[in-house]
Amino acid sequence: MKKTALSAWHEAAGAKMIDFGGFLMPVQYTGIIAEHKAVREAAGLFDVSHMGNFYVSGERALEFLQYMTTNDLGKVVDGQAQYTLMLYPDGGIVDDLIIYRVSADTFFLIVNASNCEKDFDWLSSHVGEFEGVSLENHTSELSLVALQGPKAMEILVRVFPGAGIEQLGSFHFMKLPFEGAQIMVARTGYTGEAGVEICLPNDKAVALWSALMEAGKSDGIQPIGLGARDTLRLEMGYSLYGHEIEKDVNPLEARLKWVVKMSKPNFIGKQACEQVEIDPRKSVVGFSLEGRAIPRQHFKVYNSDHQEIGEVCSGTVSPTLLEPIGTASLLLDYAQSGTPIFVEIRGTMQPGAVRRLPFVHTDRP
Amino acid sequence: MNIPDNLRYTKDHEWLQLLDDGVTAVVGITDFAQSELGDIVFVETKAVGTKVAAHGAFGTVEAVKTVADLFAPVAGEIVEVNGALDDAAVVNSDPYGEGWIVKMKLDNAADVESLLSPADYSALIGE
Repeated sequence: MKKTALSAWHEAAGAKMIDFGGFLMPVQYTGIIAEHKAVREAAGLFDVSHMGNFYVSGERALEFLQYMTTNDLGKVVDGQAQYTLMLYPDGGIVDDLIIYRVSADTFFLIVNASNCEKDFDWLSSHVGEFEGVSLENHTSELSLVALQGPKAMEILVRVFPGAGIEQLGSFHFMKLPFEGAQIMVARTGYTGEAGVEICLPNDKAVALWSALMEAGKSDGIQPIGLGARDTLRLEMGYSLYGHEIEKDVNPLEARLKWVVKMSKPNFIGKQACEQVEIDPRKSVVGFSLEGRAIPRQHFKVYNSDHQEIGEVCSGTVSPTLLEPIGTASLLLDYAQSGTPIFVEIRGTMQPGAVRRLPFVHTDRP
Repeated sequence: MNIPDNLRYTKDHEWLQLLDDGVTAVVGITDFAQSELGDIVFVETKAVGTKVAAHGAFGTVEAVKTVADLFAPVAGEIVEVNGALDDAAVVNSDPYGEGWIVKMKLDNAADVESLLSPADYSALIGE
């Protein structure tokens, strides 16, 4: 199993470590609920170094990425980032990713850990069609740390005073010097809270992590494991590959129409999306349940007439709302918020209703 | 990991304490089990009066991340369910005390002898 530059820190801090995407990662330190609340109320620090990092460069890099992804990267300027998708020709999702435009001919991609190799192979298999474009995998050299929460920006400014980070807009990034290295600070995240994700060389990761932990001590900063990362993203309704999105899920049936720009001349999967756009069959929706039993992935969802209408993508108990919540892929007729549904949990039909996403409203500036 | 000397254990990470009346036992999950499960948010058991076979499922423990079945360490009838489990986090904070799960009237008190000793259980979880 691969380790991140911070694995030893996590183990020393008493984290429970698990295998995630081939990496030894902390799932929790003190407990998912306490960590979740720390991020909603103060600040949390996440090691997400397992995620994949690619550089795409060359004169035709933009053209290549426009063909490989669904969002319109042409609208993105230097120093800006964009959430996007890669699709198979049948419209199924290869992965979701963020593309950072470093310059007109250099782009940085952050992809899911569990899809890293697959994504690299997928990009590699097409890059030859775009002469002069190079694709490099930098995953093993780079660490990624996320600082999230209402106190995140204050804490960050203490470590990087006078750098102007607080002026950085959402989905914008800047390069900063740190201990003789250049690091990338981006106003992105997966929690719905204010904050940043910082990409830096492995040999600086512990120093930055420690500096942020120290600077945030008085605000109650906590290290956060993958368990709370999942409950935080689910309260916001953000997709997770392997749950809401998959190789056999079309983005137009997964609440991701906003990242599929049908006005683009061409991209892989466009024709399939055109078909689904005319006749979508299902939709990913949010829902909550009465009672306390927790819906889990693949549990069946039924309508009031006991007909199966879909299945659960993700489920948890919301640490903020203290009720069972989840996402489900349902037949389109049932996607309206307020629609009564039933989730079968160990033989019992738990009543609930479709809910508007996000479940929790944060005041992310 | 806390493994009290006065209890018996199962490979499913439950503990059982035979009470002084010699027929009633208290059942809960071990410190190791609560630690592995993480934040427990809901405990559901079969109703008082339900008869369960040895190793029969009598309930579930829902943690944020996962769910686990509860198995009867020995055969018997559920005679009481812990009312304090409305706040299921008590199973995390005090698995051998306030976080007990059910009391059972045992079909055969001698069955308790078949359960793991504290030393056996300690070896099972690799301590």
